[in-house]
Amino acid sequence: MITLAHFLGLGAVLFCISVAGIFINRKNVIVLLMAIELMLLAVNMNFVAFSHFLGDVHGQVFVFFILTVAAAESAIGLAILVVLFRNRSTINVAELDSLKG
Amino acid sequence: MTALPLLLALPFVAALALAALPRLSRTAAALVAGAATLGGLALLGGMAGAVADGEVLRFKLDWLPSLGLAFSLRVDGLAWMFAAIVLGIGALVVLYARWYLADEDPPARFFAMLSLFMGAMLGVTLAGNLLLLVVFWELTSISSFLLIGFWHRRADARAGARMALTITGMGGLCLLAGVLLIGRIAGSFELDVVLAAGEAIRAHALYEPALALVLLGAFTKSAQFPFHSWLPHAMAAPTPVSAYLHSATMVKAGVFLIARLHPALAGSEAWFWMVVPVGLATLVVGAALALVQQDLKGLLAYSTISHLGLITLLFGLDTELAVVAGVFHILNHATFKASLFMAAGIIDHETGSRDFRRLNGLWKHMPVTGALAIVASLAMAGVPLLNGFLSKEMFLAETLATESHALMEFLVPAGALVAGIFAVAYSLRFVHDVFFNGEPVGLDRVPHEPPRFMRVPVEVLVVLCLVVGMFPQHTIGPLLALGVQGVLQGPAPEYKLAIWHGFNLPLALSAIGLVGGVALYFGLQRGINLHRIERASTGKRVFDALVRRLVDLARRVTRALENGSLQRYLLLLVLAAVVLGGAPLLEAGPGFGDPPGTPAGIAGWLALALLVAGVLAVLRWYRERLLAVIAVGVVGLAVSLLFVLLSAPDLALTQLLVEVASVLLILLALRFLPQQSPPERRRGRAWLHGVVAGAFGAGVATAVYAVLTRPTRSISDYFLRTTVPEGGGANAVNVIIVDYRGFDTLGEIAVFGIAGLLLHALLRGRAGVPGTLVPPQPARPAFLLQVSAQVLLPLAIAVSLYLFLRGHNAPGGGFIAGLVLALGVALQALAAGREALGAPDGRTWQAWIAWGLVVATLGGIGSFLFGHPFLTSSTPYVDLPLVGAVPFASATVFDTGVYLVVAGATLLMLAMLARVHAQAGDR
Amino acid sequence: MLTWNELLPLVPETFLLGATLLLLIVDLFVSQQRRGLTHFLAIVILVLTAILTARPHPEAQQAFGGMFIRDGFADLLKLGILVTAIAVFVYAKPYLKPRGLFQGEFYVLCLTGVLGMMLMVSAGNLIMIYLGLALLALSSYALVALNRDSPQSSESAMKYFVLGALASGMLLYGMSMLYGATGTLDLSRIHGAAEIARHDQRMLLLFGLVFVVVGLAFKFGAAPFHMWLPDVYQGSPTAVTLFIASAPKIAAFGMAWRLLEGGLASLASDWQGMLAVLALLSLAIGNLVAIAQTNLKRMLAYSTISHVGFLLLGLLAGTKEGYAAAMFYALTYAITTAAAFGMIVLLSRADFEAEEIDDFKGLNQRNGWYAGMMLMVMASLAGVPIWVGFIAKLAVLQAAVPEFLWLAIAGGVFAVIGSFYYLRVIKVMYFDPPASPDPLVVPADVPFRFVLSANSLLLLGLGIASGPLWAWCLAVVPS
Repeated sequence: MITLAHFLGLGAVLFCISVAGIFINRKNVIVLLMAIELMLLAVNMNFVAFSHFLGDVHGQVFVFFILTVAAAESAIGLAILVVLFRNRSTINVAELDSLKG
Repeated sequence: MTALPLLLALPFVAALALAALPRLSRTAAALVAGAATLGGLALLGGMAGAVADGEVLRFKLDWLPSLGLAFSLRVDGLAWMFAAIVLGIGALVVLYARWYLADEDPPARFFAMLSLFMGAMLGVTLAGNLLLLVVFWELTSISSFLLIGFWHRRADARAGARMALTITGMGGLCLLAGVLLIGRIAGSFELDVVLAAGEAIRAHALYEPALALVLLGAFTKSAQFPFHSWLPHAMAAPTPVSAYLHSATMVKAGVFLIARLHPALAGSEAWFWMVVPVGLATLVVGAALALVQQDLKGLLAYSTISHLGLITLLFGLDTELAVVAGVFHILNHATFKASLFMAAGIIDHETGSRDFRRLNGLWKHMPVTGALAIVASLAMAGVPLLNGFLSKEMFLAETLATESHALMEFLVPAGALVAGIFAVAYSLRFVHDVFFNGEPVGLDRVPHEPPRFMRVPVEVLVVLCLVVGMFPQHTIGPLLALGVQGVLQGPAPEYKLAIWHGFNLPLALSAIGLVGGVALYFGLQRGINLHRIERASTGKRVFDALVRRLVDLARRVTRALENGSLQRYLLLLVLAAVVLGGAPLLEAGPGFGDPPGTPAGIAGWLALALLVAGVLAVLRWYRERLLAVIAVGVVGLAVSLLFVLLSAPDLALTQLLVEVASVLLILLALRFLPQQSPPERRRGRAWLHGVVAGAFGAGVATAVYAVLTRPTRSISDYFLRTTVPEGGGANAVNVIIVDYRGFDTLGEIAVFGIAGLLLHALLRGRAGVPGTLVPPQPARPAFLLQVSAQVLLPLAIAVSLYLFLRGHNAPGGGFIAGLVLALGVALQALAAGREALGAPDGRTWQAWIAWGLVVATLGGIGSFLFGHPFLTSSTPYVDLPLVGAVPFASATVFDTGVYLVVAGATLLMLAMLARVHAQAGDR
Repeated sequence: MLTWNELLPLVPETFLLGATLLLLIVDLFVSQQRRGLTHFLAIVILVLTAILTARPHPEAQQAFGGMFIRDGFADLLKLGILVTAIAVFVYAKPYLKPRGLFQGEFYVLCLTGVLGMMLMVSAGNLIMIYLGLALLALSSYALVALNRDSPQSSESAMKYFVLGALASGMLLYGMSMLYGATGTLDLSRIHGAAEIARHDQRMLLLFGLVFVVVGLAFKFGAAPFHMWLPDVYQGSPTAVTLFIASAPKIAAFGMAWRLLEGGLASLASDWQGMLAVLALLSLAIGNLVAIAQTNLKRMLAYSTISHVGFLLLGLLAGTKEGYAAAMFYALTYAITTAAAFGMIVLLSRADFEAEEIDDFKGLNQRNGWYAGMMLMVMASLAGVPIWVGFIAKLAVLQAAVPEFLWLAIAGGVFAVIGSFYYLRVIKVMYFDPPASPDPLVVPADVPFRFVLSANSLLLLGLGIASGPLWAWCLAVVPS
């Protein structure tokens, strides 16, 4: 029988894929933004599942927060991306290495 | 007791005054420094009576009592004796330096640094609190760094200064650690307490580490083997500095510390075995190396190392008589070595060279200086009738009396004898090579006697050597007794200061040393010619290599960690998290229980399938941005379905709308960014990344599974029970958000609103170099879209109003309503052009955000004005046509603010992105 | 039920939020020539907030059922944050003005960040921590990218953003674990639940703890979560670096204390171990890598990492004295670092960034007083007695000895290695000839030069008279 637990295992997998996506991807910053969004989705799933499971509503309230912040975050990420592209004519992750040492 | 702080303050005041008056002449600067020194001597003299009576003078000012740091000063015999050395030799050095400094040397700066050092050194001797002692200790390191590097244009001076500071500074930190331990053990850093707590300290488990750390501090400062190599390189300092720091004061700080803490730390096996071997090795190595130097001051430096080893060895032997000998030798060494350094400085000053290979036969040119130097050298060699002989005799007697392991009982006197032979040999070399042994080689001027007053300090010291050597009991006797009482913190043992002790073993050893030394020197000179020995300092080589290695290592670590690649940073971050997280997981093991039986049902399966499909799609198409964005949207959709399943419908709705809004944003941005990312290369690296990600995932999955399979525990459902009666609404989450979490929501919309403003800040204004943006395809919006958008906007407004008004009892509220409105407008903009998004600078939406936040804040606070608690909503429902009963509460005002902010921020973001887009298109 | 009394603790934050919004609106109507008004108002806002924050007898108050806590601890940290922010504003102006960055948004974003920090140190609940963190992080990302025409700026903003988002994602993941294990978001209730946790729950808590520590370490810039720091310090406009490098360290400490001591004290032995690893790595990497730097901003970044190592040393001691020492460290470090970046601003001109160490060559010959100021800053950073940096290190080491003796010794050894690079700055200022023969041009901004001088003197003054501040720190940390 498939249960809640399995969903959340899946949530974890989602989290991991996003983490993997963040650093396996070498070429495109947009993918990074999407991976971050996936990661926050996974976190949200955790909170909601726990909240349901524990019969405690606070977790859901937290998720509202995370949703808001996630949206704000991806908006800012995009803006930075645009500024970056204007300045460097590239969104290739591998080329972001002028600052080092 | 105000004389005590005044005594300590004098040199610092002089230093400050000299620093403030950088243009003072040489004489004036010397007078300022000299006045402070003589004033200090007078004050010290005033304390002599009381100290001689066995009194301990104290002064205490609280600094940081809870850290044990106090400005407390304490003068007993030892402190008095050392302060006398510091000030006495200091006065002579000031006089000497007045004549030594060249015209191009800034005198005020020199004397300021010298006074600073003198103050620091006085502080070390007078400190009554161990932490305060460490403070002054570090200050001596720093001021000596400045003095050694005084001729900072010379590379060797800079290198020497740096080496000295590094080694002694490192030792200082060890000392600090040791002192912290001692303070912990003794319960206080006050010297009085620590000195009385010897038993407790020695019995404590941390005694050995504390002792080792303190000794490391002392050994580095006193140039003990193997930390000795900084001292020869510090000879790049002006000679007055060497005469002061490297004979009488700074290097003596280490042995002073050993003497000071003798009652607290000595008297154990560990003490003997840590101190004696180091002292012995230093004694022999220093003496041997002194013989093969080609630099006048280099010879003196190694000889100083050797003598410091001798003193350390004596304190290590740890008998009362050895302590007497040690203190005595501190005094004697300070006298003859300071005079020898000054003599070397005179020679350097008048000939322009310090090289044994060039300096020969100076007796003809400077007989007075020569005579003085010869007497001082003989004192250094330990020839009878001079002060060096007396303490050396006592030293030899003590080495012979060593009671320990048989090996040490042999090694200690044997080492002493060998060192004695070398000492005679190098002293002889100093005399013979410089003043006799042929003619000077290639000097650029004719040597002559120095100015009258430059010689005075040397004369004073040499006379002291003679007088003490001949009439010890009447000259040095009282001072020595004072010092010994101070070290032992009790009455001095029975000892006899006399030139003649009868024929005994020490005398025989002395005689062997004298004869052997003379034979050794002339033998070597004839056999291998000491002038030919070219010896680079091993210590310097090791130190340089270490520094080079360190810098190399620094570069390599930098390249490995900070190569600028975001990918590398991310990998490291995740890897570190895996390692940190793996430890507890492996240690504790996951605690699984039985899976709880919540069946998923058909909807669950559907959501699951969607999720899997979405994730797989992301993986498959992540390079094709449009597909990837859609796939991410699918995952978001699946998650919001899951939210519904987990009985969080309004969250699901919010999730859905936020997802739509973000996808919209991304799509807008995508239109002018590159179409496709280049293909990946280097598959090998991907495997590593995969493994790291896999480990990370496994850990996280295990943890989540463990949470969910844990036995259920019911948590208070307080909120669910109390919402309807108190908030007047049935939708639990929404009521919670508005009433209980009003403040949270305020924060939430603040974040959201500020995000909009941020976007505005980043994307407004000059368009940068927009030529690089990819111009969007001039696509005409589909007719169908145009028509539907025109229908949709009013619909969106209606839906959003409905959601807003119904919000209190059904999923919705200001947040969702605001999003719906924004999406409607956005759709309209897609169809009809960006004019729908308002003024291009986004002012309208900025104002929405600001006013929305103000309204929300006021809505919250407003209820106060009517005497209600924050955001109370007890007002009855108002019946509206079509919509039904609408709650009219202060909460509604608050929700209006939320609505404005959310819609305003979303639209501002869209407007700004559309603007960039338009700019790109205009080119 | 909420009442006036419950909202009273929030007065400073509410004022700051409202005033910031008003400033935003006012700034919309201010012409570029009169932008000085925004600058002035922003400082006034901070001063007023500080006045509202200061209380003669700080007793603990709560709002929203413990979500928000106002106690002496929070008050002191907030005052530190506000004072530092005032200095940042004063130092930033002469930098922003000639570069076309003198806009209202800098002030609004900084004020928002300050609000976030104030919430972080007052948080009694995971939501509040996240809210504060998000406010601070989002405004920092945007601040870093403030110079829209600089490729460096936008690169560092992108890096900061991606790494920061990953770290805050991990922090959130950790928080969700804590929530799952204890069923509450309230720190005091997490504390209670953690104390009675069974073995299996403990494992979960630990797991959550790991991610929380990762998030904290990132915020602090502790190795090995420090990678963003040098790039962001170097890439940002100096005025922004000034802000990011100073006050947020205080907030990070406050947040760490609330989370670790307030919520997870019963797991102390576990987080002590983790923090010990982080502290050691930070000390080692920070000091070691700083040696190889030629860029002063980067060097200060690595120096920050090493100082974080010291700060963690106090935090991980887990005693009242340890927390007070870490608090003292955070407060004084923020002030010191503000002065350090202020010096860079001082020597910079419209077309010239004085961010290379070589730019300080021969400063003593060009202006003895400025060289003296830099000397004060470097001496304090290096921990030379009697500068305040020494007192801070002493307090931290005292707290760490004897339980973490070897860690403390390692700290000392790395501190010596570290003194190399501070020494190098002093060396080039005093021993090297000036790089250019031109006379030194510094901003004519009188308040700027006055505050910067006072700030560097304060480093010495606070060292000599460190008693009151130390006593204050001790008094506000509950035993």
